[in-house]
Amino acid sequence: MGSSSAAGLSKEGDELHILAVDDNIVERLFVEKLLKGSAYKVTTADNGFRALEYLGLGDEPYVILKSNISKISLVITDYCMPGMTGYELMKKIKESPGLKDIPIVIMSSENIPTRIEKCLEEGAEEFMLKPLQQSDVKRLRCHETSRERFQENPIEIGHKPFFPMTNGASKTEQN
Amino acid sequence: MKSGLSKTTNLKEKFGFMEGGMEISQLQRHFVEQVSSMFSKGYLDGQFFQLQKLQGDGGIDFYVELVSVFFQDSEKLINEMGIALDKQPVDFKEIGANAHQLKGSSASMGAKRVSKVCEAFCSLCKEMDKEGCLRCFDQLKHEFPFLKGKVEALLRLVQKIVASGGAVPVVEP
Repeated sequence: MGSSSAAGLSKEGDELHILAVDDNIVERLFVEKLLKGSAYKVTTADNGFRALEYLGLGDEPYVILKSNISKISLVITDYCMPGMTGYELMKKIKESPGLKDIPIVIMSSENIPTRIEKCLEEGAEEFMLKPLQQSDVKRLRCHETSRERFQENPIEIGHKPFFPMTNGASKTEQN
Repeated sequence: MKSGLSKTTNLKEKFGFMEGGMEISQLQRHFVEQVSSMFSKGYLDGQFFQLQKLQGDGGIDFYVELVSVFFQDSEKLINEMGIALDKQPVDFKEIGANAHQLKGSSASMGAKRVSKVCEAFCSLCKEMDKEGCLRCFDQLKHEFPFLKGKVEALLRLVQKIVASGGAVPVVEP
């Protein structure tokens, strides 16, 4: 999925690259179109295992492909997927030292408060209800921008362990 | 004299009108009527409106692709549901999984009625209600081809509008 949208880039001039994970072919296509329409570069995966492989996590959790770290600005994943749920996928990404800072957004067609809480507590930036709207996509940009700040300032990365671990607390609003 | 002047300045409009402009506006009106009717009868919902807005510069191609993938995938899912229903004993898990998929994809398309039927279907599968599932499946086998027929007719209309150089109206629910 190398083609990028011509509809303008972010202010920094960098195209933000999103990894979108959904087992449903129609929903995957829809999310891809939605994201490309907002000037994102999009790679899709139809399950958690493929998503992990793309991120370099595959079967060897500690082998991190440096090139893929800088590639992906955000992961957006469906919650309900056979084999590995979006929640489980997120946990695996968060367990990886090199990838734990990638913002992760979880989507679901079901509005289940306990599910939403669980995801936010585990570190999801946001929980979005499907089908996604353009306004949801616009909100993704602020999650990515905060990540770029960490990338640009390696010193801040070094300080990260001093930040409070409960980053879910501030993200309790549902869309 | 004034009317003569206005006739001249409106030549382009008038010329366009004679060239088939009337046809375009009739097609556009028909499109608006059809979509509005689908909204008011609950076949389509606000998500369809979102999809219309999404086309933007990409034109109708994005929607055509999405629709064709949706119909292909849905037909496959419905077939598989039928097979699972015929099994002895009924494979409720399989049916439920397919109904869940179809629920999601039809919701993405704004196909409200189909999505609602699938939602009911999912519950019936969880309850392992065979009679209920059979009724629901019958409903789906009626709703889905109806929706498909309507959407295909809309797409033909859209293609005519685009071919005549007109803009496809965006219809609000």
